[in-house]
Amino acid sequence: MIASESGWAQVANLQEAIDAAPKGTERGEINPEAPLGYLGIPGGPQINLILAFFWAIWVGWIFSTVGAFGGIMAGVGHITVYGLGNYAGTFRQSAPTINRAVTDSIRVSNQFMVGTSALISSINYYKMGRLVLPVAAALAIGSIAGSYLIPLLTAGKISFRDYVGYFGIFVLFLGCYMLYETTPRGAAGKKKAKQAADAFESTMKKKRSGEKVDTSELGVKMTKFSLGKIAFTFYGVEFSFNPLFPIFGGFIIAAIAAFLGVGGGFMLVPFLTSVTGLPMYLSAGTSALAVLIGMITSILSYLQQGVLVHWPLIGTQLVGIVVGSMVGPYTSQYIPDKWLKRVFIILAFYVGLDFMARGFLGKNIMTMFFG
Amino acid sequence: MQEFHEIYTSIYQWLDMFLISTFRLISNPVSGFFFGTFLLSLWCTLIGELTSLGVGRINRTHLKKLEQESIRLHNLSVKAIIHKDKESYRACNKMANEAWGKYFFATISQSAASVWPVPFALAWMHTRFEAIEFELAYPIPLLPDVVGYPAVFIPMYILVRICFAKLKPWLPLFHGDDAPKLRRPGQEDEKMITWADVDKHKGLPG
Repeated sequence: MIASESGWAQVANLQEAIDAAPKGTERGEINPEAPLGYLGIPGGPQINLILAFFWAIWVGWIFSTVGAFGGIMAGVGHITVYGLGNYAGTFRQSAPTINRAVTDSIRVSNQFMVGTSALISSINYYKMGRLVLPVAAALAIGSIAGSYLIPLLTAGKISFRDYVGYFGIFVLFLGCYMLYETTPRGAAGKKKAKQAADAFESTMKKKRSGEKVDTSELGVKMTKFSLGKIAFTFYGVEFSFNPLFPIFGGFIIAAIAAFLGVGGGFMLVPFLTSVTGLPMYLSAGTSALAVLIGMITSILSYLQQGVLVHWPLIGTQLVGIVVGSMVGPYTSQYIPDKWLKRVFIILAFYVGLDFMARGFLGKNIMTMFFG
Repeated sequence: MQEFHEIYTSIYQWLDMFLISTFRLISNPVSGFFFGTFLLSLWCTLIGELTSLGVGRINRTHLKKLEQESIRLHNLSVKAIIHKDKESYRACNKMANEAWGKYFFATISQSAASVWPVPFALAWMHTRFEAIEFELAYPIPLLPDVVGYPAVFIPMYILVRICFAKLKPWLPLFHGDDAPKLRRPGQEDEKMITWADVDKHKGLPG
């Protein structure tokens, strides 16, 4: 066996755990006579690829209409829809290694699902010269550390219940953020930005196109560079940020992304815009590169720990995402943005609370409320 | 359902026969493995690129709309910074980033469309070459000393993709964007103002 000789411990451990698990047909037992299922476990769930395909269409639809929630829904698919969560849960007491192997497989599968775009877009942005290498490097240092450490520290150690609980907290947080954005206070910030942008646009329209502009100070000029502060003028306008922020931010975002098995791009872009003040032209490429570096490190780190991947499932889901994203633009025009947002807030609260209840209390939300 | 299963099985058997035959074209097993993996990477690249092309054409109008919105707001932010208006720059940049976020996630389909054959190829290789192992001549960080078929397939696939990208301008179907033909007069797109343009024109271009 490759696994036992090469240090890919988890593959060997899973086989050992299968051998050591109590044999039988009850919950938490392995029936050696049963056909091989998920990850080659006898009696493991037979992933229904048709169901996976249709769920991935839904994920693709969300990606093309809402954005960030796609990664979450991919996770919900792995945990709930394909039955991997319930299956992993049955081995909580009897064979914890099987429980953890399935959990890690879910985490890395989520990352494969959401990470492919970063690779292609980073190459394009690099070609267009849209990367700010010092900021990308600072983010990358943090990202690599976070993406490498989390799988190293947690692969094979996180039980399914813990994972689901933390996943729930994250989804609930996202739901709260979406809800905040719809409140008058949250909407005011956005409205203010829109009003300022609109006001500036109309000013520009009034001005004659050939107007003289003072551009004696071109590009970025560094005015202060220390451990505590980077100050620079950008076409004569002053900006500053603490260089430790991108490193620390990159670490935290990559660590969360690697732990939960999400991309992290939707957290990085607002972070870059608000902390460094980088223009979109540069922050888009820089964040795509940081996501890519984080994803590669994290996936390799998981694979190095011997985390198992169900390749046909990943392939089927990618095809589903493509179909969903093609359907999305044609259907979303009939659904107002406001309603779409409300549906996702309700969904985020339900999934978040349900996963938290499952993770920390061992009950699903329906049982909790309705017995 | 039974019929579906039979169709699926016969397609799989045919594909399996076709794919493994390319690994047997060279009699030396090691060379045959590398050559077969190269051809498999080529298939994955070709099928992926063709799908991506098709999806790109279907989604073009939607993607163009999202891209144009982010370009418009970005250009506005460039104008604001050139006029040394920091507040307007921050506002326009924030809006541009939001618009770009939508565009970024919408392009995921394009990326997924070009790489979807890879996991299937790896799944098929697993059924045929699970036991194959290569000892690394030099240790590589993050990799064990002995690696399996993915360590050959993945770098090979990346190399084929790079070569394919270089050859694209000479390949029929892939050599260019035909979008300009579809635009009517007065529908010209707003072009993104790059910082190189600003530097070159000592201000706003045009």
